[in-house]
Amino acid sequence: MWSSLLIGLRNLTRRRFRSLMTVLMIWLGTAAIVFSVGLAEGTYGHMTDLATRTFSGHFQVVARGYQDKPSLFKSVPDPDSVIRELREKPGVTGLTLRVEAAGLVSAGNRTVGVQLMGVEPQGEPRVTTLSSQVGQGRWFSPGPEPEGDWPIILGSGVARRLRIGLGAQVSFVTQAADGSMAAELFTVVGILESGSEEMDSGLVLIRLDQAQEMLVLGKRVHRVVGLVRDLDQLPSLVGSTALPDGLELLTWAQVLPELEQTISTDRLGLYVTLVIILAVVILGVTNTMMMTVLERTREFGVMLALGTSPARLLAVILGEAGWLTAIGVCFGVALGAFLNYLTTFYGIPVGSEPIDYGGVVISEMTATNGWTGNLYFPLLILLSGLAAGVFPALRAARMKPAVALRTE
Amino acid sequence: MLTTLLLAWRNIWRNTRRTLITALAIGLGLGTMLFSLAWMAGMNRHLVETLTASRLGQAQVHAPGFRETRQEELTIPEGGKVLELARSVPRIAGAAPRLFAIGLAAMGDRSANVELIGVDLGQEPKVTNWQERLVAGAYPADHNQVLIGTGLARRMELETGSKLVLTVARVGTGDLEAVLARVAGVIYTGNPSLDERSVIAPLGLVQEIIGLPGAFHEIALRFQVDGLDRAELSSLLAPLEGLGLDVRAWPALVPVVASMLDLQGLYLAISVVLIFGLVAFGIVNTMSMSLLERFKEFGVLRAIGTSPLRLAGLILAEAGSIGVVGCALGLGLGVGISFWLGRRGVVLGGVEALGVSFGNAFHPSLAPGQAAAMVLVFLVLTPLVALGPALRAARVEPVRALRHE
Repeated sequence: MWSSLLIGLRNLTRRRFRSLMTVLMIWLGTAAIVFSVGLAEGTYGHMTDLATRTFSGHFQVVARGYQDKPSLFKSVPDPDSVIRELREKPGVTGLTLRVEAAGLVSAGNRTVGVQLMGVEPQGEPRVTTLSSQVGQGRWFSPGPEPEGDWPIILGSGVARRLRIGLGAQVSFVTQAADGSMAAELFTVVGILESGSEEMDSGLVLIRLDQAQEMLVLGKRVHRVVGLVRDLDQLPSLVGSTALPDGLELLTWAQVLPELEQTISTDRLGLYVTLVIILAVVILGVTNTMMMTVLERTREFGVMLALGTSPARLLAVILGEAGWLTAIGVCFGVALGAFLNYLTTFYGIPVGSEPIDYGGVVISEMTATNGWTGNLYFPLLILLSGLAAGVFPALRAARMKPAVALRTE
Repeated sequence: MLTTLLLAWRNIWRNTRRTLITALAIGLGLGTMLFSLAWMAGMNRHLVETLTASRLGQAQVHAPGFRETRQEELTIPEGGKVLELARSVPRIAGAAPRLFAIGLAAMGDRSANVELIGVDLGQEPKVTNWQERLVAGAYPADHNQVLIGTGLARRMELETGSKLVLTVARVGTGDLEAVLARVAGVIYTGNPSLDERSVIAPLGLVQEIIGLPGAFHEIALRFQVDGLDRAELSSLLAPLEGLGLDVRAWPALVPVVASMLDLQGLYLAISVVLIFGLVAFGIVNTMSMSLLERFKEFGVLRAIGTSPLRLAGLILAEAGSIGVVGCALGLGLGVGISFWLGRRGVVLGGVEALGVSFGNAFHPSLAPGQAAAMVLVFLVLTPLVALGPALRAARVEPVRALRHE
C-alpha cells in the first residue's frame, strides 16, 4: 500500500510541468472555494449576530400565534415559570422580558404612530445591545424610578418628527388590556440611534414595570427573549424545553424569517457556484490522469507482465491522482485560510454605502475559517480528484499485458 | 492560414476524448459566466422595477427638507402649479401627487402603526403598478376605501371589506382625528415597507383628516420609457429644476441600490478572472501534452521545411479550435439555461435585499451584447494561454526531436 503511494508520488515528478499545471488548478480552485465559503459563512454569521444581538435575541418564548398576528391579549401569563424553566438549560446565557404595544406618541401638537416596547432596565442589556444604541441621554436606571417619574427613550426618527429632544414631555396613548384607553405622560431620557431605519423611525422604549402598569397587564409579558452561548445549542434547547400550553419557543430563524430565507437562498447560490468550480477542477484532473494512463500503456503492460496485480496497478494510479489533489488541496486550504484571516483586518466593502440585506444593514464582509469551508469542501475536492482517477485507473488495470506491450 | 486552421481542426479530433474534456471545461466556465450575467441582469431589473414601480416612480419632487425630516408641514409650495408643470415634462407618462401621514390603524384588539399614503386614484396607476399587484379585492374607487399590503392584512387579520379605524394627528393643532375606512383590496408589491406598513388611501381623505386641503408632499414621476440612465433622466427633469424644489431621479433616491449596481461590475470581473483562470490551467495542460506526444511529429514537420512560426500558429490554432468547440458548448448551456429560467421565472420566496422582497418572479435575461463580449473574452483568451506551449513548439530542434522516443 505504502509503496504504491510512493510510486504514485514519484510518477508525478516524471511530468513536472503537467503535474504542476494540474496542482495549480486544484490549488486555485480549492483556494477559491475555501475563500468563498469562508466569506459567505462569515458574512452570514455577522448578519445573524448583528440581527440577534441588536434586537431579536437568539430565541424567544411567545404566546402561540403572537409572532404572526401580534395582539395585546396574546401574552405569556406567567413569565416567571418560563424563566425558571429556561434558566437551568445548558447554554442559556441571558433572559429578559418584553411588553409590546402600538400607540400614538404626542408632543405639543405633533403626533407619531409608534411601536412601544417595555424592557427590563437590567435584563435587556444582558441579552441585546439596545442600551448601548442610546446615542444621546441615558438608559433606564437599574433601581425603581422615583415616584411619578416615567422615563421614555425615543427612536431618533420619532424624536425628529416630534421635533423634541432630551427632557421633553411626551404623552403616549393606546388601548389597555382591560379595554380602557391608556394614556401616560413621559419624560424623554434618551434617544435611540440604532442605524436601522425601521427601529429609529418607529420604536419607543419604556420600563417593563411601567408598561405593565399602564397597559393593565399585571405580570403578563409578550416576549421572553434569550441568548445561548453557541447557536449550535439551539436545536437541543428547542427539543428539551417543556413550555405550558399555548406558548411556543421560536428560534431567531422564526423571529426573523426574511433573514433566514435570504441566508439560505444565498447559500444555495453559493453551493451551485462551488459545484461548477468543482466540476471544472475534476475535468482537469480527469484529463491529466487519462493522459498519464495513455502515455504509459506500455509501462503498465510491462508491470502487469512482471506480475503486478491489477489491484496494485489501480492503487498506483489512484495514488498518483490522490497525491496530485492532496498537494493542490493542502496549498489551496492554506491560501484560502490565509485570505479568510486577512479579511478580519481588511473587510471587503459591499458598496460605497452600507446595504440592507435580509433586513440587516451590512457595510463590510469578513470571512471566517470554519469546518465547512476549510475541511468538508476540501475533502470533497480530494474525493472528487480520486474519483476522477478511478475511470482511467480501471482501464489500466483491465489491460491485457500482451496488447499493452504491443501499443506504440 | 486556412490550411493551418484545417490542420488544427483535424488535429484536435485525433484525441477526441481529451479535446472534449477540455472543451467541456471551457464550456462549463463560459456557461456559468453567461448564466451569472443573465441572473444578475434579471435580478437587477427586478430590483429596480420593484423599487420604481411599487413606490418611487422614476423621479420624485419634494419640498426641500421633506425627505430628510419627513415633517408633515413641508408640503410642496404651490403644489398644483408644480404638478401641472410636471405633467408637461417631455415624455412624461404620469405624475402622481402623494400626501403622507403617520398614524395608527386599529381593528378590534389589533393595532399597528402605519404610514398613510394619500394618492390621486386616477393618476397613481400611471406611475405605480398597484392595480396589477392586487391579490384580493379591487382598486379603491370611493372616498374612504383603502388598499393595504399582504403583510399588514395578515398581521391585523384584515381582508377585503374589513373596516379599520385610522387615527392621525391634525397638522398644526395636533388633535387626534379618527376615520373609518374600508379595505377595498390587498396588494403584494414586493416592497416590504409598502406590504407591511402602509395604508393607501384616496388623497382627499388624507388631506381632510390631517387638515391639509389641496396639499401634498411628493410628486412621483414616470416616463414613457423604462431603463433610462442618469444622464437621460436628469435632462428630462431639467424643466423642474430652478423652482427651489428637491428634484431627484431614482438613483439619487436609493443611492444604496445605485452603488451596489456599480460594484457588481467589479465582482463580475473578479469571477471571470477566477473561472477563466481555472479553465486556463486545463487548456495549457492539454496543449503541452499534445505537444509532448507529438514531439516527433513536430520534428518531422520542421525537417521538411515547416517554419517555426507556422508550428506555433498550429498550436495556437488548435487551442483556438478547442476554444470554439468549448464556446459553442458554453453558449448552448448558458443561453439554454438562461432562456429556460427566463421563461419560467424565478421566485426566491422570503428573500429580502435592498428593500425589495423577491416573492414575485423575476426573469433572468441575457443581453446579446454582454453575452457576445463574454464569448469574445473566452475566444481570445483560449489561444492566448496556449502561447507558452506554442513557443516551445516553435523552438523544436528537428534533429533532437526526430531522435526523441
